[in-house]
Amino acid sequence: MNRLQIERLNEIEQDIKRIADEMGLTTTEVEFEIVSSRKMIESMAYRFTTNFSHWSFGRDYDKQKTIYEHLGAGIPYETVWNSIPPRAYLVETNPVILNILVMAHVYGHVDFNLENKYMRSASDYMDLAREARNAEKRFKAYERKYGLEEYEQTIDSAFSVCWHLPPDLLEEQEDEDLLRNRLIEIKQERIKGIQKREFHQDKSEIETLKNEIEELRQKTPPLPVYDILRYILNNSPKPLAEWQKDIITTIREQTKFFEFQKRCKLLNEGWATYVHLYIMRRLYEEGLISAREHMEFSRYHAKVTQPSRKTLNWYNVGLKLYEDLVYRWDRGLHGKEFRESKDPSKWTAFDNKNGKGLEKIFEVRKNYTDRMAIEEFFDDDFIRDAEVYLWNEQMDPRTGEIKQIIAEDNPTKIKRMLKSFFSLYGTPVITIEDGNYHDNRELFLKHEFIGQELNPVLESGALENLHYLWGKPIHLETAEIIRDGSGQPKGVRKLVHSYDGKSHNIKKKEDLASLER
Amino acid sequence: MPVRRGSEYKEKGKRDAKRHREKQKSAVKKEIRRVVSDSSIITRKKGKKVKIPIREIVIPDFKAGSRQDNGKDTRGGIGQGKGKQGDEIGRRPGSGQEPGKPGNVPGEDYIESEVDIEEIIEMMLEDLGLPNLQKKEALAKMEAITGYKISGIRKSGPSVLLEKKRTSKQGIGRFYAYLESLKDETGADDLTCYTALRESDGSLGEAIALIEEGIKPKYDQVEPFPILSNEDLRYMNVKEEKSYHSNAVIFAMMDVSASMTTDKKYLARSMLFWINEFLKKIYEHVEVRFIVHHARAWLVDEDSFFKTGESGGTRCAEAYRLARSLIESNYPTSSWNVYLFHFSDGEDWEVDATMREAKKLINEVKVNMLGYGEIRLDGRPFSSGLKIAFEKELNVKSTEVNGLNVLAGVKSHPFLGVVIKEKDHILPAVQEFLKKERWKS
Repeated sequence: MNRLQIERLNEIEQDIKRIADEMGLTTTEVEFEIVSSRKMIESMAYRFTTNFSHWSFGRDYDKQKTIYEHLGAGIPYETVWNSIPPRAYLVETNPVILNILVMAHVYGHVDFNLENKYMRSASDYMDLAREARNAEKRFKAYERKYGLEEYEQTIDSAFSVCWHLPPDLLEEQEDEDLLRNRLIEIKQERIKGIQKREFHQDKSEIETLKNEIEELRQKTPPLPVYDILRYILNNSPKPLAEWQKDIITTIREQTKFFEFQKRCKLLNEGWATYVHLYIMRRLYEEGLISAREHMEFSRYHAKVTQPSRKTLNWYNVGLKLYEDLVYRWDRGLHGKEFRESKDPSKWTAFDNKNGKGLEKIFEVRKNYTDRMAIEEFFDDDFIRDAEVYLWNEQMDPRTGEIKQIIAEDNPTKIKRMLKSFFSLYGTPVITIEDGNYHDNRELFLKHEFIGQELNPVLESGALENLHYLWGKPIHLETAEIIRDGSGQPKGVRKLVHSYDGKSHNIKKKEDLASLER
Repeated sequence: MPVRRGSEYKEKGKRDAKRHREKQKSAVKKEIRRVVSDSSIITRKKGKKVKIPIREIVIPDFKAGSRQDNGKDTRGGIGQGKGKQGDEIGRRPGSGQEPGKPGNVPGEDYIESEVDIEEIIEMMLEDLGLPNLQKKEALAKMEAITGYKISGIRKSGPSVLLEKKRTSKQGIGRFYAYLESLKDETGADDLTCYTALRESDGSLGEAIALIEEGIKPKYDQVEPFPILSNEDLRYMNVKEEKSYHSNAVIFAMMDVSASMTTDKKYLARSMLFWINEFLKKIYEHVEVRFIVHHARAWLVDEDSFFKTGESGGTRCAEAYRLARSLIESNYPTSSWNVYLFHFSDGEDWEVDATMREAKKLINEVKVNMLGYGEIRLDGRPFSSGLKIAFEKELNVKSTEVNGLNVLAGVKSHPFLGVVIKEKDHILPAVQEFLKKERWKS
């Protein structure tokens, strides 16, 4: 990129910001940095402009770099950091028009990150980009002082379970003792309540409650815990060294930050796409980009939003969602009244000139997560229009190849699947049930079985890593599907997988008669 | 300016990528037993590299996957586009079709990684605690006559090597010298002296006598001719051209009687492959000759070596004898490092003859090593007659190494026997071969 091109980008950046302001977006100064594609790929692998050192980042970097350099594919477009001020990268070798598109897109993200309830909490959290830079220095010293093996084992172990976070990321996490006392108080109140009764004073009920209180006093955690790393940090009998706690804390905070992003990814990418489409059109109308450039932009836009047969294109579906909302709220095609009066003959002609489209999408980008948006706006029509389906694989008995086929095109079933996917994001629900199992501070975890088994190879590795962090035997209750001779599922069997630091032991429990779904 | 050029940066990813590659390498190491005994590697060789499927290094976590198939996940997900239930949207090769994808290893994401054969051999050596081996520090190089070369002229030699040009030049010189001294002695003129020299056939004494007798000139000009005395004879000096090469020849011998099944041959093939690759690493030039035998022995090419199957008796001595005559005629141990490796299932009709041949190879021919690989897949515990004979007749000791029965020559007795009962024995068997005292000359 030459000096004139950089000057042009600077000028047009001012226009982009102005148009964003006029559009009603919240803007702030953004630092755009022109970097090499290699640096861009590296920062994507490390998840921040720079981060601590770990082989898994190196693996991702290596992989992406190879794809980029040898196949010319995977051209990095944009990364934006939700820091203060926000920072974004432009790739030196990308055409100017692509960089203009990226800047417009980034302004969409910046608005979303500043306005969306969940993303705001993520950035309120702290300036993680700066934190990551500091972590790099601290961790380097740890590696030198405690050796590569311990250093890697600590990071590997923390990465193993880091995605097990509470379902509600915004919820304040109570201190264990406070929670225990509160639970005890509730039971004590209930005892008092029973004792106050003139009649029907049930002695056995009081006994039960008293026993429960006694149990609670001993119990850790008092209630099942979702946030595995947090519990380990506070309770590990290993004991963990201070430097290891620092590593675990850093990884947990970074993961939590990404979890916020993950939960709004569809809305965030869709929003940025909606915004860049608007800004680019305005730039063209104002004569700030040429007709040829606008055509070039349209090609990039089409590429970015091109639907994929085998994955969900966030840009495509997200953009479609906002466009659909604008259309429906502009014409009043929503709400109970409309639905009930829905007459197929009037359906396409219906328009009450409500004009609330823009207002609606600004509200959605402010208050929703992906899961909420899917729940509320992914109706049968939308799913059909967006041509979303579920696919799976089957063996072709003729050729021995694996066929990928559309497994589900029923919108209702697709919506159910999407909702479940956007609740868990592929992370199974696992809770810590007991941190003093066998009265020996062993760790007992429970997998909430909803029809999906755990990969037993990875499970073994994860238990070994948990053992490294906990230092005492680990037990995991999960389940397996029982199959009949032809491989058809006919039931579920509970099992407990234990690892004591030396060997794995799997105990199968009672069969459950029916297949839980 | 909000848009500015980023500062220079140090490529951080490089170091961590290197670390990841090291981890991959140690993953190969962990599976080296499988890698070494995987016969498909031999056929998937691509230059100096082999492709080995290694599991992608992932951080284990709790993740959905089928317990029954060891976590092998059927892929699936959300997609977009036109189509209805049952429509095909893509294809990929089935597990049976992916070459080299091992069926018995827990399924996960495999990445085909290219590994240097040398690297694998180094891993085997490392595993033995042997240092990294360089060609130059390998065996003492051997002298070999590769041709003849004329290097200068000498005054004696066989008449076939007479160097005519040089010799006649010397002779002409002598002619002029004689001519001059004739003139000095007799005071006669050039033509008289010349005539006398001609008439006397170049004898100085006779020529003087002829002049003194008053010989008359017969020629009108002096035409010099060479006069040769013994001192003037010049012969070509021929030197043997010796170069210092490190050559090795492997004689692969195999019993091809009916009892040697394809499975057994595959094990022999794997073993030979690695021995060959190892020797290629330490010698500049390695040849392999293939001998098959039942009651007779004959030379074959590599392909037939593994494919030939015949019925008939078994006389191992025949193979040893053929190898010996080939060594004596084409691969003298003065110029070649000779390795013999014999694969058999232990059956031999004439054990005594075989022992006699084996002793000749070791004691007279002085081969670098006589290797014996007994391939037994029947699981029977007792020893074969051939093995017992080796144990009794040769200076060897029987030991167990990593579950592998090894007959190793005592001290520098160049014999190594291994009993291969399963695929997993390939690695320790090859490693026995790699041990320094085995191939050191």
